[in-house]
Amino acid sequence: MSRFILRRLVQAVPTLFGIMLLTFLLTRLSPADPVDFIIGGSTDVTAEQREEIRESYGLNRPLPVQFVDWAWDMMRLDFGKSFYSHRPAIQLIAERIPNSLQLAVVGFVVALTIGIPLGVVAALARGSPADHGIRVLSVVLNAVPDFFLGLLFVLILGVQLRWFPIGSMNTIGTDCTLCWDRAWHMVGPVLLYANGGIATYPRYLRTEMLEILGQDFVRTARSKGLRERWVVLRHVLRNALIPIVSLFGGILTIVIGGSVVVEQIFTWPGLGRLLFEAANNKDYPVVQAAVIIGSVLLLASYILRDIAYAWVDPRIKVR
Amino acid sequence: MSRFAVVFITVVLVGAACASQTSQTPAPSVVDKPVAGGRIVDGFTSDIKTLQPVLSSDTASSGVWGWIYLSLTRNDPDTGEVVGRLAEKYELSADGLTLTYTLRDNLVWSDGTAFTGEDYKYTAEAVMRSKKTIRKGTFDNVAGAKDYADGKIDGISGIQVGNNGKTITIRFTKVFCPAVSQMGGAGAGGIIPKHMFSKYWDSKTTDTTKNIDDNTMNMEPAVSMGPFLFKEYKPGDHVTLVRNEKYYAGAPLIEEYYIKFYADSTAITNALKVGEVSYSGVDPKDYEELSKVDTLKGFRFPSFSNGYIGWNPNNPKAPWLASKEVRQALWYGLNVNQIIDKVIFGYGKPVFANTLPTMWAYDDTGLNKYAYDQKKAKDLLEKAGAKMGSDGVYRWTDGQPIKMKIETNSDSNTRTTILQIAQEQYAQIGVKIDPLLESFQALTERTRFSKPDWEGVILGIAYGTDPDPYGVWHSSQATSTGLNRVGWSKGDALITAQRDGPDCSQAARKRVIAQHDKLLNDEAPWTFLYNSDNLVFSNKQMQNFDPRPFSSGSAWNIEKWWIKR
Repeated sequence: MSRFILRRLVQAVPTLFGIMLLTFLLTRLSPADPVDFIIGGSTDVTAEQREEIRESYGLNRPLPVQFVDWAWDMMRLDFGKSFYSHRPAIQLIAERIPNSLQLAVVGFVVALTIGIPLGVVAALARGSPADHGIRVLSVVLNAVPDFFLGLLFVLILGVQLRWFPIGSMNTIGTDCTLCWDRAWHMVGPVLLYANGGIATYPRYLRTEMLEILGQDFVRTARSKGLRERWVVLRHVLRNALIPIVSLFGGILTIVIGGSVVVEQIFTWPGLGRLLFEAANNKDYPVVQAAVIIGSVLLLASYILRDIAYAWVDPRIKVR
Repeated sequence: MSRFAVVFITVVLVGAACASQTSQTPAPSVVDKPVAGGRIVDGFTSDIKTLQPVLSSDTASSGVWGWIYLSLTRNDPDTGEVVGRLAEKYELSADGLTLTYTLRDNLVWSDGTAFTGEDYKYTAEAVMRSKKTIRKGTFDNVAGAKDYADGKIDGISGIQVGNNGKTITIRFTKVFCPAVSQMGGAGAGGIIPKHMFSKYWDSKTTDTTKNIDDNTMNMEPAVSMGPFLFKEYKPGDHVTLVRNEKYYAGAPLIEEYYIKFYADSTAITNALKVGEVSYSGVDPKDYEELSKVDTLKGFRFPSFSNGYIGWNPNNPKAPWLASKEVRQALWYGLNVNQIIDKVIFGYGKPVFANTLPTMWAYDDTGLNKYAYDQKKAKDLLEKAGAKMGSDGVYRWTDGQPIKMKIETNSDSNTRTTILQIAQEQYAQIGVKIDPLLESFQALTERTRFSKPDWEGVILGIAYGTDPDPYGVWHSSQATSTGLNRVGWSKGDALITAQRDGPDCSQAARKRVIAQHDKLLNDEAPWTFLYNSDNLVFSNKQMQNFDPRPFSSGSAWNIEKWWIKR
């Protein structure tokens, strides 16, 4: 087992290096000069002052030197400072992660809570109107873009009917995390987060369950006289859910990158909006730090998942 | 679909249809006398970057610190002329080389410390020593400023504070006519408290490695003197300010000023409709719809920006653009009034040169108004040497068809629509346009002066309150990063004359600026499009809210605003 873990860790190193190189190149080689953004279109800045600004951010050095310095700083956990606020990038990211995580976790739980029963119903009532309905719902939810659903929610339930807030984490003047006001503000963004899961999990689970329902051990369980409910819960669902566990790693993906649409529509001050603004402003240190931290977390979650799988199923270690 | 779902969706849709936007009319108030208290919510479309004026370069940040830190002067809300604020008066010497400010009596910071000229001097020195500021240009002509920046002396010798801190005298090395409008903010725009910041950075040092750039108070100003004081910043969400009881013009009636960050202007429009935001600027497309909302009141006044199509006369692939007649033809061949009606819904006016109608230097006498005239456009093209081809496209003197790109940024509906209209209308005068849409970053990069491979670009520009055309039109700005992307240089002498004196009087400057505008209007390096209006809506409960053309950034009568309940 320890050799397996070591192997996975060693494999992660070149992956991370590749991500660092790609992140660096993508940010640096994109069009436009970050100094233009830093000076905000000012007409009073002379070429000499531009150069001073460029130098103060270390942007005048050759690209390979910048990369090596940046990579070295990263390894020492120095993520640099924002070009604009001059605050440490890690601090900006740390301020936003809890907000994004809150949505992602609750959204994931809601997706599971709705998606799993729908999958079970579809599998057990295969071919019935309920099964067809669930599959149609799945296709529709998958087909409608998230931003469209979000805007519908805001415009109809928020602006027209005023049943829900149109955005933000709390009512202005209220500041609480575990309270009714926060829960009320989370309804829209959480539903949007959960939409993808509600659209996907039932189909996923239905396929898994139908496959397991036809297997020998299920027939054996039934022939032993176990009640159908027990067979489904204990033997079929439990086995069908194992692959879904791997989706937990996806939460991190959502927190790091997939939250932009939800956070933009619902004015949620999370990491997605921070990344969106940082990318728009060419705030390299923030974009790079967020991508690298996200990648490390993601790689770590994949390694942990693989280890857990290997622990459960020793055959995986051999593959 | 289940019966429940059908019923639910029906209820939602019917409810949405029935819900009236005008149902929230405020109840008539029994008290019309100003009352203290309440909260104002202002919507921003982006987060702040810093609350340090010395470092700030974005409008969101200045929109917040503008309430916290003040300048010695400000602009008259209607005329834009410089008037005193913290300074009771100012005086520029007859030779234009000495500017003296006299401060008001009894000015104090929020902690009770006296505000003096030393605070001004400290702020100016912070600007000159900062490595990350964009504002050093203000002090180009101030004696000793460069030596101080280079660490040769321990203070800017050209700024002297006297009379117990009540007078500030600034000595210039040469005449600089826009000085009065530019010096009031000590280069930063807002003056910071020396007694607070000098704990972290002492300006009396020749060590140039030390500066104000990484000060912890840059995000959390503890002491200030604007109408509001900083209370809290929640990144990505809001900034809370509270009224300053020691504000020199009298404490505001509003208790709390809350700046809320929204994702975009549509989110702010929605927030206005539901009553979450107290006032905000809106897009032209939303003006009519919001006008129907009973709870809101609309305001319309000219902005400080215009839109234009810039023509590159240096592109060898489009040699016709070097011809004045062709550029004039391109102006005659575009129906600007139609653009104003269709694209900005009539909320703007055509402009014919650099100076905007709201600026004190505006004088349109003798300017060609380029009334839409296809025949005149064709005549001018032919006068320049072009000949009509059999395919309806003019041929230039070298035989190549007059065919070129016009590019703009794809994320602007306004500009992409202008491009569509231009493409259609130019086709009617025999000029073929290939539209090119790209990201704003790519657009500004591609259409720099140093890059010859572009022909026409649709962009906009925001001006300062002084009508000085230097930053956009002087040949020194035709660089790889300057705003004079078309490289026009024929107005240099006039630009210098209105900037460097010796006569800096408004009348003299106005005369020279008008000559520059006339030259620009005739040469047509840009097809000037329109000066759009600022459109603002406020909740009707806000009283004495009265935005004017020159009051942006710091509302001129904030101390009188109150909320009717």
